[in-house]
Amino acid sequence: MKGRRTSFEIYWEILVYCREPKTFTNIINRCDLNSKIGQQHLKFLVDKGYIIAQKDDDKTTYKTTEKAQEYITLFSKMYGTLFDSLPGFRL
Amino acid sequence: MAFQTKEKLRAELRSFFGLTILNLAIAALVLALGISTTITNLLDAIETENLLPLSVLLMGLGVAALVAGFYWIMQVVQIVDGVDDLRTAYDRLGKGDGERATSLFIDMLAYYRSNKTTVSRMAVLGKIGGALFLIVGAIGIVQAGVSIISSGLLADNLSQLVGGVTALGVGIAGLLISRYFSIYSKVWDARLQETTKIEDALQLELEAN
Repeated sequence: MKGRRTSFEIYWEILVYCREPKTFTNIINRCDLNSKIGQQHLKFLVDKGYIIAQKDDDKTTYKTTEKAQEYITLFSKMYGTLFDSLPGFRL
Repeated sequence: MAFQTKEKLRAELRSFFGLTILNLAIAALVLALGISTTITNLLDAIETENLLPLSVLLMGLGVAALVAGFYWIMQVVQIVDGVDDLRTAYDRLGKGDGERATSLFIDMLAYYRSNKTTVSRMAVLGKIGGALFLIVGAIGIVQAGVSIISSGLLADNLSQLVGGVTALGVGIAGLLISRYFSIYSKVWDARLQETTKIEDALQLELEAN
């Protein structure tokens, strides 16, 4: 089940998933993206230097760089604070 | 993930799931009320071979309640399915599983973003359903009161009174559930609004690199 995510949320998911090298197909399957959107997001992250593309034999894998850690940490911290407040009732 | 955060998530998911199930029960009752009103009035009209304007009006209302109840159930089922997936994802969370928790936060926000309209609709339908049952309950109690005064405490009158009180109770429950849904929506709308601020900060972070 995947609802409507923002680009920032998708970046975070890709970056966390690519801590270990992953192929393009792995990424779009895991992050539930279509090929076109997956390519756009991946290109953006590679251009930013958050992900590096590595050629192993005849396949290309993608790996998150150290540079992305700041983004991952900031994102996790800020999203965590969203859940500090609860609806004022319990069932 | 911190124990406190995990507990909060658990409580929130459980409350929302509970509300959705209660909403489903009210939807089913509205559907049942629609069927019973339509059929009762239709049978009366056939039996008496006389179609009174009031019967036509009640049949129309019954069909409207039937359609609304059916549509409502379809909507709630979608929500139940999604919330169930979120609960499953929550159950898989382990201790100190910070990133999976963030992933769950993303799923929850994405889920609400996609179902915001449906959740609002459920709150509105809950109000309408609640009001409908309040009216039915009030009419039942008044009719039972009049019958008890005129013909005494008979079993028929008592059952009518019990039916009226029950409908009144369902109506109050419907209104309360709708209110809780509105509270839930407000918290989630605030969270979504907060994410736009977060996005600004993340955009700055991306631009800085």
